[in-house]
Amino acid sequence: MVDNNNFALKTNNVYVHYGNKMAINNVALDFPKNEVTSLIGPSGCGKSTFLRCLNRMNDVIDSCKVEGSFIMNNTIDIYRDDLPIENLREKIGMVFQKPNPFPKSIYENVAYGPKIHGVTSSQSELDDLVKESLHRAGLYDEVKDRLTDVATGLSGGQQQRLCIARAISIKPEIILMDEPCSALDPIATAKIEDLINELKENYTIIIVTHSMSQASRVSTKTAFFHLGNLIEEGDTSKIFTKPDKEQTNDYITGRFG
Amino acid sequence: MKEHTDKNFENRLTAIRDQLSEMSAVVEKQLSLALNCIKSKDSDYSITIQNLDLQVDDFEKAVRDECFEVLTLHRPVASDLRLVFTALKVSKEMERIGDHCRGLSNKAITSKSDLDPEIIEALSALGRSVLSVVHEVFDSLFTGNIEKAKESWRRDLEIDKLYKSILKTLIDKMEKNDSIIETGTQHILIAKSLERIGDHAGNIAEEVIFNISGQYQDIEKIRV
Ligand SMILES: Nc1ncnc2c1ncn2[C@@H]1O[C@H](COP(=O)(O)OP(=O)(O)OP(=O)(O)O)[C@@H](O)[C@H]1O
Ligand SMILES: [Mg+2]
Repeated sequence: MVDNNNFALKTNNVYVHYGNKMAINNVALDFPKNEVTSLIGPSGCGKSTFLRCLNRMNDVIDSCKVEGSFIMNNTIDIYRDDLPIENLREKIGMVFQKPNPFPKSIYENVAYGPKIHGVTSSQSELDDLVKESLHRAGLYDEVKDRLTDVATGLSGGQQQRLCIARAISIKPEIILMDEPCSALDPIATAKIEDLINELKENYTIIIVTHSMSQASRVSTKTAFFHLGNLIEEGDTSKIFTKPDKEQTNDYITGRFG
Repeated sequence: MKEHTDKNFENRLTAIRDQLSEMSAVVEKQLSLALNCIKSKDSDYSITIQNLDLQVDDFEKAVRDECFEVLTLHRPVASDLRLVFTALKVSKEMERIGDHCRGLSNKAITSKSDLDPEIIEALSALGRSVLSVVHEVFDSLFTGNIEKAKESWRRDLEIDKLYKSILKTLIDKMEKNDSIIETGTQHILIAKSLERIGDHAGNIAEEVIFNISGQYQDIEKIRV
């Protein structure tokens, strides 16, 4: 039997509409703890929409209606009315396609989250946390002498790792990533992928990617979406060796017909 | 299955399939000529087999190079990766079958004297069985028929049985009559080559099953 406790997040009967338009159609997908799950599928199939449901980012879109169950750690209904959204974001962080550091110093970018969430109780503790987060994100050595420089002066790859440092500084349990490498060169991409591999020791990671090779490199589980439907999900090695559905095979082999 | 959006990739995969298919036809031809040698000792057959073997070697190299290029340039996954993997392994097995055909035809035409018709008939029966298994497994590869691949693999038992019975008969005869030891040994080697070809057909069946199902299976599971 599957051990329920091994899932960081379970979703079921998920429907998402933008106005009358359906974007996600009855999806059920569970995310194993401390593993990387990738969401793949053609543009417009609903990957970002689904990902954004997972930390209620769609709440701010008026036309967007989300239905279904989203249960974290088998207990917390993340759409529960009395759950403060800040508490949820503390548990489920997000990294976007375009690196989006605040126009502040490198230090402030990482310190901001812990400050507002009250993660640390003293300045030195905060300093340590900033340092540790940058370290974990594989950025510390590159920026240690210029922590007070403005973050927007970093390269794209560095900015993205800064955003990852920012996401992990508040010690979330789950990190959502929406095409985190699409603006990066192969070296910066390799660094982020290596980082994802290390981060999964402590976090559950869900990543949207258009790169099949990235999905196969970083994830242990892969879910294929098409027109709002979850067509197939399974072990990444199975999906890339012998998927059950011909539709999945066509997509991952590049038969877009 | 749809066609590749990248036509160059599609063409390369088609080329691999075509080369493998042509190669299989040549190997089958080698085998049927080799069976003729057992019966008639006609050296023309043997020469043709040697010439075909050069083609087989070329096919193997062509498949290998094409697969390497596809792996390097197109990073195939799923059904495409399985095709490349299968082509590499199956072409190697085909090439080995070709070698056995060459070897056994040489032995057949150079064996000093004729054995009695009973042995020749038994060897021919073994040969027919092997040829039909080889044909069946090639067919399963190109039609993607997993049941046929399994069936051809199961028939390895039938080949083994025929081989062992020939072995026994020949050994009995040689014990009784030591003047036929040299020829008898040649014929044991011929039977052994046929039996080995059956093994290679079994290896191909294993690859065909992987190609279709994505999993290697045990012969024991397939037999039940
Ligand atoms: N804010 C919105 N308002 C209305 N429709 C939207 C909105 N956001 C997305 N959609 C629609 O929902 C569907 C799914 O979009 P989504 O952005 O989730 O796709 P995606 O799989 O992430 O695509 P891509 O790979 O291009 O990022 C699309 O048809 C899209 O046009
Ligand atoms: Mg998207």
